Parts: sequence; structure tokens; C-alpha cells
Amino acid sequence: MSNPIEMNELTSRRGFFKILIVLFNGLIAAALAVPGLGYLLTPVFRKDSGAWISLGAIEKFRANTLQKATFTYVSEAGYTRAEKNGFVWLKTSAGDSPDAIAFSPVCSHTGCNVNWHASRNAFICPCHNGTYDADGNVVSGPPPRPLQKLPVKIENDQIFVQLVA
Amino acid sequence: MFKHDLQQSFAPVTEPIKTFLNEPLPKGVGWANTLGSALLATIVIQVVTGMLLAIYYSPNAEVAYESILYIENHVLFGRAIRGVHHYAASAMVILIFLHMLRTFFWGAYKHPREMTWVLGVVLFLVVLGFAFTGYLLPWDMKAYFATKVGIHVGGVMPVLGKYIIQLMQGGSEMSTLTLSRFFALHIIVLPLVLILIVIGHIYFVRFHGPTPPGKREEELVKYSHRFFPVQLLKDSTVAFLAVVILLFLAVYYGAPLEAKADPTDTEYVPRPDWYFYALFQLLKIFEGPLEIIGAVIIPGAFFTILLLLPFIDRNPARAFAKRPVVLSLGVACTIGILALTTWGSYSGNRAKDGLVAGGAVSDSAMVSAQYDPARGETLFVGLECAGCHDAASAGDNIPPGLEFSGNKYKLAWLAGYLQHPHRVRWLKRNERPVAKMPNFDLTPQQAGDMASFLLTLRLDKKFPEVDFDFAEADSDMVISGKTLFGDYGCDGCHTIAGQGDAIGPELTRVGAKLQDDYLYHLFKNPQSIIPGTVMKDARLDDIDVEDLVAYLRTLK
Ligand code: FES
Repeated sequence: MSNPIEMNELTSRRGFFKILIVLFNGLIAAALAVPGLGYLLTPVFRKDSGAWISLGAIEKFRANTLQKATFTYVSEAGYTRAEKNGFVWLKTSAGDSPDAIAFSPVCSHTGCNVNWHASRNAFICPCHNGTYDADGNVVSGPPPRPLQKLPVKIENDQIFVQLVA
Repeated sequence: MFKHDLQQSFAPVTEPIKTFLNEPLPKGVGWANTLGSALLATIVIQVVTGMLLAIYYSPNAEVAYESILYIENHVLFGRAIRGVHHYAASAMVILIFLHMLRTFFWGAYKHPREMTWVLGVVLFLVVLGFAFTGYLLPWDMKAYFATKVGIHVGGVMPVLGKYIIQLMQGGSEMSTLTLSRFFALHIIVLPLVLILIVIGHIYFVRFHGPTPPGKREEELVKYSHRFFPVQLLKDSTVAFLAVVILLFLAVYYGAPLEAKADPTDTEYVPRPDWYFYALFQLLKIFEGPLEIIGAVIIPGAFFTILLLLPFIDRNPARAFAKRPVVLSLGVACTIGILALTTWGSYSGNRAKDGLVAGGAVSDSAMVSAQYDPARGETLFVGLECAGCHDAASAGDNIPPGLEFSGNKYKLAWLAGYLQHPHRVRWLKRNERPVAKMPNFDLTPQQAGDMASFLLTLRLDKKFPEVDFDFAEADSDMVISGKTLFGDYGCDGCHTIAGQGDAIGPELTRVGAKLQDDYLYHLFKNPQSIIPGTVMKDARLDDIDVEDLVAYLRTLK
């Protein structure tokens, strides 16, 4: 070790080994991390199909009135299928070309289901008293955004709604 | 200044790491001492991949299998991750076995390292526990029936047997309750035990230092080099190679998955994974009232002796020449285990086990799993199979047309083939195949669906039903058929079990592949079935044809 050249060689050998050690272990970590991340992130890249759900015949609903439209649908999550119940707030308009609008009941604040109060002509959220008007716009309270309008279509006098756009 | 402060703040972490890296190693420690670290690397891999699998897996007998299919087919890298978890389990058993052999032959278990050895043996048992609880989880045929065998072993104990079975099953039969308790053991209980033991084991190893071969404790040259960098590099290299091999196996082969468990199946012959072959074979050797010998006494005695080895063998010598008795016993045990494992791998009828021509599912498992031809057709269209398999190219060409596959193939063979297509198909001698059937990575379910669809493609006019039920054929016909096969010089073109030439297709397992009636019509008129074939029309009479078919259908 007294010879400085030998010393130098030794350190460079050490240095090279150090690089190899980091390289090998880094590759092992990457080999686990890359597929692992992809695996974990799978749901992020998955698109929901957004199927049309039938609410039934249009004449079932009173025109120009906001009302609860309940439905049952098959929800597919990964390898399971389950029947689930759901509802939207629906207002139909009669006439030659009938039309409908549907609001998601999910409050834009933290997601409670809002209620339609006909007497006050407003949607009121039970959780923190968020209030929306009949068009779904925020009137008062904490909600940051209007209620979500859902895509609706009418075919052969049947109303369909799409839960995820 | 700041940097210096931080250095001090983190000293409680960095100092032990430095000590760890600078551990002095005795002379002679080298590659053979990397097995332990490779094992540690596989444990880390199992922990990581196991956590990932648990994210999508459901320990419920109704959907467990479906959740595995979901992981295999719909989750990004799901197939690779499940594959790594599967093969790393095997790797752990191999590494722990080699690690123990090394420790044993080098006498590294001797005083003062008794406790390191004991912890190691317990670790081995825990790893076997992982393997046993792990392969029930996919709830496929193998999971169900091999676990049944395992639970049965628990029931061999006198008096207590019945209760042990109930305890293992979580009830009077195998069900979701069995699955959830195996799952809890596999992902919570055993990992905790494993981690504690690994920490203890490593602590003991570090405390006493690793052992090079041949030297007594007092003769060790305690310090020749440090752990860092040379030994750490060797450890890293071995761990890296292990990961590369595992990834290759996982991506190229994938983890096996059979049909969904069907408790009513009567033909499935369960086979455990290879590392249980030795125990499995012991069960087979000792039957009836002697069963307890193979199931409990021999394994029990083996592991007890293994655990107590450092206390039984108190001879401090580590050189081979000075430990003749213990070493010969060790060699005998090793050979015994290897022999039982090999024997176990050969016993049992492979054809019956469903290993027909690459297929991994037995015939009855196929039928009972209720395959859906409609789904198969969707797949067939989706994968554009007809793009290659069109009627126009039928005949002697590759790939075959499929317009009469329902008259030609057997369901189990097709399903097995679709899952693992042979990558090179027979063509003609000295011709390279022009097309290869790609592997579409179908699941057993998909392959079965597709096979059941292909069986609906029939040309019954071309293949009128033969007026003879070949299942009734007696041994005289089979023997006569075998003779005819030689007399007509069939072996001049066809190979059976290595005998004969290889101009035409190999027939070693033709009985598992082709339907009896198809063979009959082929013999009657080769040109009409395969236009342009070089197969001779020997103008056989009905009797000869029947005998030949009776013989060929036995080749499975
Ligand atoms: S959740 Fe509706 S107001 Fe807060």
C-alpha cells in the first residue's frame, strides 16, 4: 500500500465495483418497479364504457317537474358483475319532440346525494346545506360547481341516461 | 456546514450501514456464500409481487379464479407479475435447499452457529408453508385437488386426524372458508413469521460471521477482506442473475393456470408442484394402514433430526475427511430426496393427468367447465384465425383449413394446443414451415371456448358416421392393428415413440388428437380427406382399417 500507484489502482477497482453494485441492484429495482407501477396504475388508464341506462317510458314521468328517476343497472367491476340501484333527478318536457334533462344527484362539494325541495324550488344538500337552483347552479353553501348534467337520449319514447360521459 | 450537520443527524442510520458494509470476512468466503443473499433477494421479490397480486385477487371461491384471469388478461404486466411470483416460489425452494446443503457440507452449522442453523431449518418449513397455502389460491383444478391431498395428509394422524382436517378446511368441506384461511396464512401470518426469522437469521450470521469451508473455528483466519465491495458485488451479481432468469420464465412461459376447480370431477389426477414430489411419493409408497409412515413419521423424523443436527453432531471438525459418518448420512439423505423427487415426477399417468400434447387440462375438466362455443366464435373472429385457416388452403398445406375440424379433432387436444401451440408445425421433410401458429396466450377458458367452437365446424356428408364403435375394440384388434402398421410400412413415414421415420406426422399421441372416425375415413381414402397428400392409399379392406384405427386410438 506504500506505493501510490498501487493505491490508485485499488481505489479505481473499488470504484468500478461500486458502479457495478449500484447498476445490478438498480436494475433489480427497476425490473420490479416498472411492471409494478404499470400494474398499480392500470385503473388510471382504463376507460369506463359509459353505457346507456334505461329510465323507462317517458310517459311515466310528469312533464316539466323535477322528480327522482330510479333505475337498476348492471355494474361491472373487473371480474365481478353486480346489480346496483341508482337514481338521477329528471325533468321531462312534453310536446312534439319530447326532451329531458337529468342531473346527477352527487353534490359537487364532497359527494352527498342532494334532494329536490319543490317548496323552495331548490336542490338542498343534507351534508353542509349546499343549495342549487332548478338548473343545478349553486345558490349558496360550499359546493364549488353546479350539479353535473348527464347525457340523455330518447328513443322510441324510452329515456336513457349515461352515468359516465 | 449544513451537509456536515445532516451527516451527524443521520449517523444512527449511516453508521450501522457502514459497519454492515465493512464487516470483516474470513479467508475463503466467496461465491458459495452468495446463496443466502440470493434467497433474501427472492424473498424481497415475493413480498413485492405478493403485495401487487393481493391488490386484484379475491379470496372467495366464487370469484378467486376469475380474479386470477383478470390479473392475467386485463391488468398491465399482470401475467408477468404472477409469473415471477410463481417461479420465485420454486427458486426459493431450490436456493434454500442449496443453501442448506452448503451449510451442511461445510460444517457451518457447528458450534457456535447452532441457532443460525435452527432458524434456517424453521425458515425452510415456513417456505414450504408458503408454497402449500399459495397454490390453493388460484382455485383451479390443481389448486383444489392437490390441496385436498395435502389436507388428507393432516388427517392421517390417529385420533386427531378428523379435527385437523376440519381445522385446515375451516369446516367439513373445502370451501371459501378454506380459501380465506389459507389466504390469511399466506399473506399475513407466514410473512410476519418469515420476516422475524429472516431478521434473526441474518443477525446471527452477522454476529458469528460467515464460515469458509474446511477450517475448525479456532483455525479461521478471521479477517482477510471486507464485505464491501467484492463480496457485495458477488451477492449482487447472483441476485441479478436470479431476477433475469425469473423474468424470462415469467414472460416466456407464464404461470400455469388450469380450468376452474370442479369438485365433481372424477378423473383429475392431482399432482403437486415439483418441490412436494418427494413427500407425494412417500404417500404413494406407504399405503393403507402404513400411510402414517409416509405422511407423518418419515417427514417428521427428518425435520426433527434436521432441526437438532448441530446438537447431535458435536464434532467440531469441518474438514471432510474428519466427518465420514455425518457426511455419508447427509449424502444418503440428499440422494434419497432427489430420487424421491424424480420418482414422484414420473409416477402417475401423464396422459390421464391431462398433459396431452401440451394441453394442461383433462378431458372431463374440459367438458364440465362448460365452454361456450359462442364466446369461442367471437374469439375466432377477433383473432382473425380465418385469415390463415381458410378452406382454400386446406389439404397438404399448412395451416390446415378448419371446415371439418369438428369431425377431426378431440376437444381436450384442441384446447391444450390452442393454449400452447407448437411453434413449429410439421410440413414435409427438408422443408421449412412457411407459417407458424402464433401463441395467442389464451387462458384455459378461452382455449376451451375456442375448441368447443371449432368442434361445431363439421362436414358430416364427407365424414358419415362409421358403423363401428371403436371404444368396443378388443385387444386382438389392437394387436392386429399394430402388426398391420408394420406390415404396410407405415413406420417408413411415421414415428411412434421414437420408432420409425419422420416424413409424415408423428403419431405418438395421435389417439389423443384425432377422432376415430376421422382416422377411419383417412385410411379409406387419403386423397379425398387431404388432397395432394403423399400418404399412400393402400386400398385397405374394412377389417384392416378398423384394426389400424383400434390400434392408433390407444396412442395417447
Ligand atoms: S357535500 Fe353537499 S354541501 Fe357538502
